[in-house]
Amino acid sequence: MRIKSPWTVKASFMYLFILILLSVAAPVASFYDPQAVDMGHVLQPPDQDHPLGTDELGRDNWSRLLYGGRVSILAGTSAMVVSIVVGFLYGAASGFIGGVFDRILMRVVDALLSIPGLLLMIGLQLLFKPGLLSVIFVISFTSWMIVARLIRTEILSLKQNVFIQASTVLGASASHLLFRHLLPRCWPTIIVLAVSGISHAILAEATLSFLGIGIPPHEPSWGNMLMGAQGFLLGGAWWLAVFPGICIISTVLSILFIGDWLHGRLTPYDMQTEVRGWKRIVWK
Amino acid sequence: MVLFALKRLWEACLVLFIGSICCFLFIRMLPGDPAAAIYGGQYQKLSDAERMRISENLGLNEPLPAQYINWLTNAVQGEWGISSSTGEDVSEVIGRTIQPTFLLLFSSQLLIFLFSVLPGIVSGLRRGSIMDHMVTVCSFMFMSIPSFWLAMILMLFFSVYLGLLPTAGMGTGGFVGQLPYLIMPAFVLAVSHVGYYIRLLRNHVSVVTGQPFIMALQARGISNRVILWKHIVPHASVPFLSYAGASLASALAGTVVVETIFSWPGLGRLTLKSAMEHDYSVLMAAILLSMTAVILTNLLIDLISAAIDPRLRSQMRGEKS
Repeated sequence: MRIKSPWTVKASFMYLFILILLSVAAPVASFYDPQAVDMGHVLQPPDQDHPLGTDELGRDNWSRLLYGGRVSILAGTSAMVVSIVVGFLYGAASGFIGGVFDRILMRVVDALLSIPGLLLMIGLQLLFKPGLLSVIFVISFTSWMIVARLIRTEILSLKQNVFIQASTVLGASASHLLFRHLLPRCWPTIIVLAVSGISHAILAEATLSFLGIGIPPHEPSWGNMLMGAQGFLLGGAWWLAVFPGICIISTVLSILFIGDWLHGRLTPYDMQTEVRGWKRIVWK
Repeated sequence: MVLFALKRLWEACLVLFIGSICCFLFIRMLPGDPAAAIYGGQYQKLSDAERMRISENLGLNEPLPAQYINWLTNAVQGEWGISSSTGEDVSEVIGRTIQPTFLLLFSSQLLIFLFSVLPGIVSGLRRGSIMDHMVTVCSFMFMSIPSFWLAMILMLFFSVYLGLLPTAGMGTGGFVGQLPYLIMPAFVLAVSHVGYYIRLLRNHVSVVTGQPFIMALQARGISNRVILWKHIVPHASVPFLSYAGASLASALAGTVVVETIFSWPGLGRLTLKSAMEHDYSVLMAAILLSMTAVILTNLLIDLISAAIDPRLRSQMRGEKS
């Protein structure tokens, strides 16, 4: 739930800020064109010219990492936004209307959740031309179900409140109830889901690209840089695998820390005190 | 209990039914005519009249619901059609991959339990301690490592630098012969889940410790050890168990990556391969099979949880617990 020492959270915010800054300013911050082939400097280990080395076509690793960060951030946030919007509308409709409608909608969610996410992504990806847009669509299509389910639960319990009944009696329309009363009270859940959604989407994008069905190989992304590195790893080109991996891990880790901290902040549990009681009584 | 089981069974059937409709519609959305997929390149040379006859024979002119029923009857009877890339029966191709994938999943599950139970309980009991912080940071670390990256690094370290473990394949000669091949894939598959299991167990243990009945037990002078093992752990084990069922879907997704990297001849690798080769009949069979496995496992786990925890049964009947 909540991490007491917020230095992890501060460091995470700092890291993400720098990452976003560098990715946005990628044309300025990189010394080479990420797609420029330089056959004279193939598979160079890190040195003065290329601080993070070069890949099998002599492309600069640092520049590719920066441009790859753009793809990851863009894919992560847009897939998250789409899945949150779809999931909220679906879950809210299901919980709000209720009855048989609700039961059918939730069984559809159950069915889609039973198909392993990556298999669904692989299948869906066959329908489209590989690229950023299709990756975003495929990831959001496979991740809105959890949002829908949690929002539905939230709406169901909120609906029991007296003020909802009061506004219904006063003749409030469904959209008024939904967007004026229920949505604002769902924000804590939505924010927590959004943060974990981004980290999920970044990992999913990297996995898809790594498997060769995500972002096409000539466009740099952390996932397909790792796919490219696979063939040269056994030859000792560790810099191709280590740096994109570190980028993915640190980004996802920062987002997880922030999400965890927000979760502790936004969910009003008074467990913290109760647990201290347990500690005082029992373990001392 | 019987009523609960029947109700749960009916729900599982409903989910399977809806899921199979989704799969069927999905096949129809895929590019290419199903008739063309069977006849291959020759299909282009046929005249229109012949094509009409073929679609007639395949039942493609019937209304969609009738087609769905035909497809489902074939699927239930194990007639999945023919793999377009190898020409073998799909059920045979799939059948070969089940045992390796099961072995992989089972051993990674074993590793997960081994690595997550103790840290989860300890950090749940001593929330806010240094131990808890360390476990938390480690579990987040595990969650954020992409499995394919970990696989690559482990391969580099253990196979290339140290030369201890083989990089690919499954090995022969029973379990002992396969063990060296199994270690790395099972470990990689387990790592990302270990993080989630630790977090889950930690949260549930700490919720249970806050309950009034624990304080009542303490007041009666029951020892910490008894409270922990007789009351806290059983309480926290129910959500743990149900998460194990829910995580089967993501474990199956994980096998796609892990099996592809380590060339493990399982279902996951087959799925990706068939998608790459546009071998739709194998792909569909793999997806449908995984879905069925997930639904049945969840059904089983729900029944076990209900047998352990009577509160779940009354919840299901709609009573207030």
